[in-house]
Amino acid sequence: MKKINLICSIFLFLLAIAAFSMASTFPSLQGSHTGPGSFPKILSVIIGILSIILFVQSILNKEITKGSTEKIKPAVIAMTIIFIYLLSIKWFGFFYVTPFVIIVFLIYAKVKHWMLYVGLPVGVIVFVYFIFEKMLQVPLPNGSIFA
Amino acid sequence: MENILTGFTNVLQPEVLLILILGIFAGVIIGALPGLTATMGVALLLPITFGLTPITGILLLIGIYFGAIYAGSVSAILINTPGTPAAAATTFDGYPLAQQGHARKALQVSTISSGIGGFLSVIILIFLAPKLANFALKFSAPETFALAVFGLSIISSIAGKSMVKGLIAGTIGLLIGTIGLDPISGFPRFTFGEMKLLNGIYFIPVMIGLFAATEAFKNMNLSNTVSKGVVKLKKSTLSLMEAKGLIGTVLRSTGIGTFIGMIPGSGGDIACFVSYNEAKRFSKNPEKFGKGALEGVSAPETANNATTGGAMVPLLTLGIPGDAVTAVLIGALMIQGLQPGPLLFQNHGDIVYSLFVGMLLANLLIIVIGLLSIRLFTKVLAIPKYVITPVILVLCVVGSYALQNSFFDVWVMFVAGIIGYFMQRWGFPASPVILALILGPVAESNFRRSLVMSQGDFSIFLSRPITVVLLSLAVLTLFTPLFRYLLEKRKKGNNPEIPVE
Repeated sequence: MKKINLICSIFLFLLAIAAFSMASTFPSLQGSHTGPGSFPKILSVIIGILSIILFVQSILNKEITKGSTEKIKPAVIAMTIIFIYLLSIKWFGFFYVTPFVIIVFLIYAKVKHWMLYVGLPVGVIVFVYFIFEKMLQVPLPNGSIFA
Repeated sequence: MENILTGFTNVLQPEVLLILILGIFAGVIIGALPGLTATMGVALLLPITFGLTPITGILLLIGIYFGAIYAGSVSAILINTPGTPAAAATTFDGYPLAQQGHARKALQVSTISSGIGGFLSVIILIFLAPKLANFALKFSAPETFALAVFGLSIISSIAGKSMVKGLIAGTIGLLIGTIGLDPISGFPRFTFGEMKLLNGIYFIPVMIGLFAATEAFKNMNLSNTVSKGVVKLKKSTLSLMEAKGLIGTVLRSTGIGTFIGMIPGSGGDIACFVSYNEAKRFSKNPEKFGKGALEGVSAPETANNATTGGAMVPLLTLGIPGDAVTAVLIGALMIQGLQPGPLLFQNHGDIVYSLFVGMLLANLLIIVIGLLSIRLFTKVLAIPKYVITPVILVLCVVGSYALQNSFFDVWVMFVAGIIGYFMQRWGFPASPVILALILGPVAESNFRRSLVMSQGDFSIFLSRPITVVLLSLAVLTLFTPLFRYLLEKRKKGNNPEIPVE
């Protein structure tokens, strides 16, 4: 956790510098004490100070939060699946891609009940269609191929 | 008195009651689904009221409004995702309670608190509306700025174990809130030439990502385990003793919610945090907050439903909306031929009092419907994680898209989910980010407007009584946890906990 805290504090300090530099290029308003850059600059300074405090606390072993020791791989797999899902929606549309994504998650979880592979995707699609498209009149993406 | 009796006569008709109940059910579905808001529900279903009478039409929308504000707590408690922004603070203690097997109790507390908070705020509305409306109108830019700063100061209370990490999260949230067009000059800030960033980063997809998507990514660890991540439900219900212990919290939170609801532009999303913080301040056991304290559920839920009555005060008495939903309700009233404002009581007194009675009934019905539905709600916990996880992720995508029909919001949700996962892993709290995203733009724009009003004179913030009171409370709120934190560190001496690598 100490290593993570040190890396985070350095990253945040660099972010603060970048934000401050960008905010300094925003024009000031004539006749006004505060311009578009004032608030971001103040925030950048605060982030810079807090990142230094975090750095010092980590060095001195005074930072008390415990990190999570859970495996990261399952979460990264889920993130990858969702990333591909979002890219696919743009091509194929929500209603064609979503059932496949749900099935992929069920396969990953090694689900044995075959009824879930049919029932869950159908149930989700019907629910979303009824509530969003029919009741709330929110048209969901059709995808460029089927548009 | 005569008007109230007329109101009862008008409302206690089968068709009116049926419409009210249908409205509440629709509101509960909308409120429980992350990504759908009360404003969206009321706006989208407004056209249905065209063919209805004034009383049934407006009460339908009020049912949706009240139901949605209440039901945000259901998903907040069960899946750590606020269904509406007004339920954001409910996750702090509601979800831990559910994880400990006390979901039923948490839902009972949220249901009863919501109903009572809303009911009492309508009582206040009926008897004190004109006086309260005049007071609320004293709020100008300096007061709104001070209220936003007071709300932001709560970050120190919800920062969790690491004050520094909590403040960092809040400040990053404030910085993200500056993305987009500057509210005063219209200059694009941090947009990198990207058109989609001109409107800034909408906080609701960020909230869905930081709460729901993050939780779903975390659940992947449990999806293929033996237990399948199912939480065992304990047979715990709210006892009379526990209910009595919440009376003070409910009354205080009702006052806070009604007051904040009356101020144009502020609603349940601010009230829930302020009320949570005050509940923690006044609690005999503040250390239990964040770990499953019943007061931590009762306070925000009472306050967010109390804002509904408060928001109706300026709407009905002055024709000024108290929040986004009441802004839509103005349209609904005008469609029915009712002009909100001082003359509404004179010209359509019977309809106004019918609406009052309808609102009282709506809050009582929320308690009844909510308590009867708890068994159904808690069945969600029995669903294995490998089923819940993909469903939540799909609803995150749909909910984020439905907000503004924009796929950009879906990507915002996704990125927020990834960031939220690593934030949680590395001990950075997510709640300050949401609080800062909601209140940061309000604080900045009103600060700068105040300086325009005073022509650059900063003493405007010290010369207005309401502003001074709110800023003093903000300082107190910000530094009290810090002092407590430093005192605790001193007590522990020179042997702080060694962090796990």
